[in-house]
Amino acid sequence: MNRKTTSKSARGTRGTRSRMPSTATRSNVVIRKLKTGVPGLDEVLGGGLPEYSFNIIAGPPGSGKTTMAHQIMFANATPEKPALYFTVLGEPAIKMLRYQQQFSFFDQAKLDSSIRFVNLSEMVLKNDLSAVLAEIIKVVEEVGPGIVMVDSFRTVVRKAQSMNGGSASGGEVELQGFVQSLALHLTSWQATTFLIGEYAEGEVRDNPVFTVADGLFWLYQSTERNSIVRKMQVMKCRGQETVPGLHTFRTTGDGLQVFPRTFGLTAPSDKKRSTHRHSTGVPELDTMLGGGIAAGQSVLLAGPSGSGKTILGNHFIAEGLKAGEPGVIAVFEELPNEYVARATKMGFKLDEARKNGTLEVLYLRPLDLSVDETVNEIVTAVKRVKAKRVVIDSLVGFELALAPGFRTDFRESLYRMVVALTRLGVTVISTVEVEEDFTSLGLSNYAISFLSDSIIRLRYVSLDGQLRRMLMVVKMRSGKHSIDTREYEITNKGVVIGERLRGYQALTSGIPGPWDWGHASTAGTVDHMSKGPIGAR
Amino acid sequence: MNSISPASRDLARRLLAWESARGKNSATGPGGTPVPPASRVCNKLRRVLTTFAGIAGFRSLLTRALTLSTARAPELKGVGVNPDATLLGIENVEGGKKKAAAQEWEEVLVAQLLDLLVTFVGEGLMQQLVRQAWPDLPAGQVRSRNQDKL
Repeated sequence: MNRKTTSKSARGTRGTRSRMPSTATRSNVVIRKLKTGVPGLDEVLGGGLPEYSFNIIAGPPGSGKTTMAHQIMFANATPEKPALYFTVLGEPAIKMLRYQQQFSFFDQAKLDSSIRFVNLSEMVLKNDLSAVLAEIIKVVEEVGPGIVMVDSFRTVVRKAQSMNGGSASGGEVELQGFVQSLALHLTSWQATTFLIGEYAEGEVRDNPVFTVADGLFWLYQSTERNSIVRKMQVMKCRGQETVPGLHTFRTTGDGLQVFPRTFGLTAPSDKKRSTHRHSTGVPELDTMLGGGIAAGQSVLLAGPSGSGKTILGNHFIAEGLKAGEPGVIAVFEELPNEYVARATKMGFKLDEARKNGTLEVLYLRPLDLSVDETVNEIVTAVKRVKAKRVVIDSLVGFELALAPGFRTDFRESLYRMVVALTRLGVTVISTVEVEEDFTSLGLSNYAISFLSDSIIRLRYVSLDGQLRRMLMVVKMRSGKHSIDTREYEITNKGVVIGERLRGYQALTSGIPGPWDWGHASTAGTVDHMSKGPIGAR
Repeated sequence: MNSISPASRDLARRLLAWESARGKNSATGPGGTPVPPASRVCNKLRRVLTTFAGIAGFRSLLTRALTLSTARAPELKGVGVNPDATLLGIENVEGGKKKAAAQEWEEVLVAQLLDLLVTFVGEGLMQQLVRQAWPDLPAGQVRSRNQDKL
């Protein structure tokens, strides 16, 4: 939608194919971008809000319109360029101030000199739109604001309709005239304006208010089973290229935070070509991996419940900490303290690392997360501790932590998360629980193996009347790897890998049998068959 | 009966004293009767508050303050609030026109109004509103004594 505007300037910037006469000097107007004060929103907007633009913040009740408006206002209001906040028959101003004070961005000092609230309720009730416009213009000329908010503008629209018999189409011309005059005047007075209103999605069509607006920010709130999902969209933003699509956002004590869909995918990659291999902390596994995990790669650790995925993840992180490589562990199924206590019992000194700030164990609040929010949390933690290694434990927990609507796009979500992390140059191990059957060797239940540079598969195997464990490296993009199936045990010191399992057929099925040596040329090697479990030898 | 915070009482006393000192010779009500300091205090707050809360918003706050105050100061029984959010009949309250100094009922009414503001918008914002209404009042007069101790 912004292509027409941006493509012209882009041509000019590149200096090629310009249709301007060669003698003319191109000096396009530079539109300054204002910071919104809403984390993530500037990225969606392509750098910030166009100065002197005339915008609408629309959405259903409770979606965060007023909070977003306040964030923008507090971020930009100064004594030289104050903000004017007109309230019109919406949330009473005293209540609004009462609640907005609870947000950390609310700066009382600004109310003295930089922000002025003006109530237009009586004006709207008693007068026609021209009187309302005159009052707004009078105050704007008196104050000279940099930011103007009208909340709720919907009330003004209803006023226009009521003046014409209450029909939805009634007062359209008056309303359009009012909005156009308002936009013209406020822009001339160098104010960046926001009209805040409760609108339903269908109302966007043929609505004169939306036609006049330079920017249209739409907030959505929906219930998915027991989860609330909030998303926002920049439907229109004249003069600049925005990130299209729906972006999730969350409201916390700090106000709104938007999680752009492209988070971590658009910033320049920190990933450098490196031949370094990270030790997994299990020497035999390093050998199987041709020396360890290549730096900046993503490894999928797949196996059934109790097969030691978490422990291998602990090995990987602990080994990194020993080598001076900070780490991040994202857990979804248990609280960080419990997770670390269990690791400590096995001798992994994670607690110490947490205290000295080289390890962050993130507990990502379950049930209504969005993927973008999860990625944001992990990426922020990676940057905070300068992590080189990340463990996501587990993908099943991650899926359950997502609001139901996001689970349908789980593969795409994982792709975005893995790409965002590996672009930062960190090495990622993701654990995934696999439902074991005894007819095939599944790698995960999500068909996500394409996301991983390497796959290590753990599985139970029934041998000689015992349920034993074996592991194999199924895939490795960065070089040669062992094709052995090796038995391993979980001891009080972690995972201990034993010998290659020889002499069995159909090991990967989990219910192997002895080779039918009558058909094999190596008859007589049956002695290699059963050596018993590692600990028993 | 609800309690009024000592800080609001204190500030009310200072505002009333300020208005008493400045209004001895100038402010008069209908028929030339002196306007009680409480009326002048409420009017100054009205001017500031109606800008952002509207007349209706301030009127409801003042009405609530009056109702709560009447339980503590029965002299206020005959007082009401006009549609424009000014006090009605305050000049007729016993003692209202006889003495220049503020009466106990005045202190109760103003303190109650300030207390309501603190309840809804917090002490910081209430003090800002007071500073806007009395720009000449020394800053130390607006701060509560608890803050001064900090």
